[in-house]
Amino acid sequence: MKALSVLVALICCASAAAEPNRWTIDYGASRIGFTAEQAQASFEGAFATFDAEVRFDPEALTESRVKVSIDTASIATANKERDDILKGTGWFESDTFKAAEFTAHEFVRAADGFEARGELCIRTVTAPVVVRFTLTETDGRLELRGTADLDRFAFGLGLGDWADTKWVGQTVHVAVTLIGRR
Amino acid sequence: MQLTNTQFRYGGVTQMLHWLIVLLIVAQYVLAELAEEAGADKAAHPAAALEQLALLARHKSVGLTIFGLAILRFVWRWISPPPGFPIAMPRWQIIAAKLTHYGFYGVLFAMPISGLVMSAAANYPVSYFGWFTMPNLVAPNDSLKELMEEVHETLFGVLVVLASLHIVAALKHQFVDRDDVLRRMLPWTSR
Repeated sequence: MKALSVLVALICCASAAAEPNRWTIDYGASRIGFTAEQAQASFEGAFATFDAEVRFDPEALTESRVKVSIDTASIATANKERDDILKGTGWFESDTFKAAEFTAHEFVRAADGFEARGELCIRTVTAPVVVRFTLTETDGRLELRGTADLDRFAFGLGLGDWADTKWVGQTVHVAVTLIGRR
Repeated sequence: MQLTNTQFRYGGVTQMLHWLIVLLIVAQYVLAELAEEAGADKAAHPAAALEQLALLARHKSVGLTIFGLAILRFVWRWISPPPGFPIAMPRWQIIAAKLTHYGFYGVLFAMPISGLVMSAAANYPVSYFGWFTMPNLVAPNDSLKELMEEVHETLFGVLVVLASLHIVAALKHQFVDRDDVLRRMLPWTSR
């Protein structure tokens, strides 16, 4: 019995020890940007404020996990009118839903890097999202670059008056750059 | 119908460009007015915001069309020079006519350019009828956007003044001077 509890304790410690360290993120150099389409022309934007808990190690994929919390009110598309619409009713509703959250526990190696299979929650809608990313490390400086194509309807964004995809594109291309150290 | 201009008459190419541009300018005005109405309405009705977006997208595409036609017409002037002024026309009228005509070119070039700069400054890239996207001429910039909006509106005022002068002068030639200055731009009359 005593041996068993020691064993359990060992396993727990072993798995806890295996969890990759949380990266120290350089937010000044990191970016969550996106390209969307409006009136049949694409424009760029970004979320200025977010919090990223990245515990990713290519040597410990099973134990890796990522959680990114995005301040929806920090959406910035260099156009105040559009920003206000995106923060408002039918879109992010930032007054009520402060953050959108991406979590991923499943990581696999892909042809040109990795795939994070996770979930993104915007307002009350959660849908699966696959982020393809590459990781480079130079002198301890980690650079993660990922992309994902999101279907705005999968998250119930811009239904009703804004649903016409001719004027507001359905797919939003997200590009993430996270710079950090272990 | 002869395509090139002659000494006495505007040819088919110039006439077509002239009247097509007139038609499209009227369409531009209507689209701009409708967009402004939708814009004023959108606080109360969110659907009006999408309507404004669609109307402005059309306005931009038609504006680019006019820009292209104006360039064609300007180039065509050199390939096929316009007919001369009536011999009886006083010198000051010839100068006024030339100023008005070049003024039109100035406005027809400056309006679409100011519109393009306005769109780029507002980070609203311009698509030509969904066919291709124009490059952004400038980086997003709020104060430049405001300035270009004023320039665009002022140019419209200049266009209205020029068009009024142009129409009054054409009618004077037709009904007071009784010469062929108006007729030579009309497709259904022959000399």
